[in-house]
Amino acid sequence: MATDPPKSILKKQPPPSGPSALELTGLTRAQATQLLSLSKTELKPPIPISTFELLSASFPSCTPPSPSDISLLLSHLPNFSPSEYLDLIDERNCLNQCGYALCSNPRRNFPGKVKIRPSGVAKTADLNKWCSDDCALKGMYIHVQLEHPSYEWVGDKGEMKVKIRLREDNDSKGPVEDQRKKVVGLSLDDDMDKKGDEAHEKKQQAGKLAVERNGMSVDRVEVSIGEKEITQPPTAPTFSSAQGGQSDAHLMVEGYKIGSRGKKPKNTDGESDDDEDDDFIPSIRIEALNYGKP
Amino acid sequence: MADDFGSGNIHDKEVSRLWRAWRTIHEMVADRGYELAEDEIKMSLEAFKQKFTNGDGSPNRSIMSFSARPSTTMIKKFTPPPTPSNPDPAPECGTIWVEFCPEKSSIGISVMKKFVEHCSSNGYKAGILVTAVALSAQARKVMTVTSQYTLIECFLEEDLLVNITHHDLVPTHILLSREEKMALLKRYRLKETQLPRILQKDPIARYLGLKRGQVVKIVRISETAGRYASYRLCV
Ligand SMILES: [Zn+2]
Repeated sequence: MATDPPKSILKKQPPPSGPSALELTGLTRAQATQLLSLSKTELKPPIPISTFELLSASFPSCTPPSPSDISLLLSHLPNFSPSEYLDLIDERNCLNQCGYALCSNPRRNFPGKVKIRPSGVAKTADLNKWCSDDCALKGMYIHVQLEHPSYEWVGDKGEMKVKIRLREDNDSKGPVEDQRKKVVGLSLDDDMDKKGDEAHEKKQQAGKLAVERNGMSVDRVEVSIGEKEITQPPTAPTFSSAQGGQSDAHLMVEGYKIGSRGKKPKNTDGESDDDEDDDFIPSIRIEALNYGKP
Repeated sequence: MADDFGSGNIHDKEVSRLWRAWRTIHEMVADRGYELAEDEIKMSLEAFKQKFTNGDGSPNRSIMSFSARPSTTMIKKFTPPPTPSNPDPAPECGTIWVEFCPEKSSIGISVMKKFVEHCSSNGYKAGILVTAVALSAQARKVMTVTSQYTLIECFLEEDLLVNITHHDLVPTHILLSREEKMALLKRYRLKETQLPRILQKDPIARYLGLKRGQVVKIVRISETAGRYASYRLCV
């Protein structure tokens, strides 16, 4: 007996009009999804050697760098990995140029292996990568941004690109320098000029704290310490003197007698209770003895 | 070595080091099967000084470069066996070019590119660059990228001060030709992956310029077994 095939509860979809994009590529759906997932894990292609050459040999073309130089550098930098950026510094150094890509000075040449500077001891090999400390800060500023990238959306395709900002000349005061000045005590006035109100408030608060800590506050308490006069030699306290000669004074702890079942401290009225208890036990004993006799 | 020169020229140490590197690289090229004159390999320090130093005693690396042609035995070893489609195969080796890099501070892309270009434009099949300092990472990349056309190798002068194959504890390594390799695998019924391995970066592999897939025969002298041979595949 022939039965109708089970009816689908799904809505009937119109057959596809033309070949889909997937069919055009000639891939199966599984292959396509696999490719898609692979493209997410894809590593950045290595920077071509020609880019290194472009950014190292006679770059930038003039001093100060032209806007076109800056935009060229900024267009290439997001593709660099941190280690590739260090390679670029290396390449520039090989040509005896300052490691900062927008500086056309030759790199400096300290002799020896280490150099002692106000900020500490540094390897000359590291110092000689740059023409000045300023360029070192600017150069490493980019490296930090590549190591800890923040992304921005670029174009309509929704491509993610590492955001790179160049270090400006006017924020050339690094944190290390600031801290050193603070220790010397120069920082307060310096900050005033620079950051205006915020620094002023900071300064006021710092002043208040200093006053408090140094004990220059108005609400001061007078404290004088004098010696106590002694008339007779000291003696140890005794029970008799403390409890007024009571016989069970030795059982009391802080004025209370232990074993009084949470009752209030014993006084002379309670003595009778105790006596009853004591009499009760011997009387049982006597009864028992009498019971055993015929 | 230091006894050879009492006079305190500041360049003496550098020149003697360079001379030792020169001797080792010549021995290496000769050991690989290239033709070199005996007096070139065994040049004395005095002769070396006369030939390759400037007036002030400093070494002149730019005139130290040399080339060498493969010997007939080497050509034979490197010629693949003839096949019906290719009855007269060309040998896989050619003239080698050796250069000492005068750069003292750092070697970048530009130096390496110039060397590679020189090798390929003059038709050298292999090139060895001997440097005083390490290559930059990108220069190394240039070397590996172009090595498909010309085989480029780099050695530090420092690594060539002693010829490692002359050490007592280093056994003799002999490169097998393609036919010898096939015979070996057939005789022991092995696949080549079943052979013990030697890394391409192994000092001996670098000395012999081994390529992936080549097999070396290692001959050890044993007190109990006489000569004892083992084989390693370069990976
Ligand atoms: Zn600079």
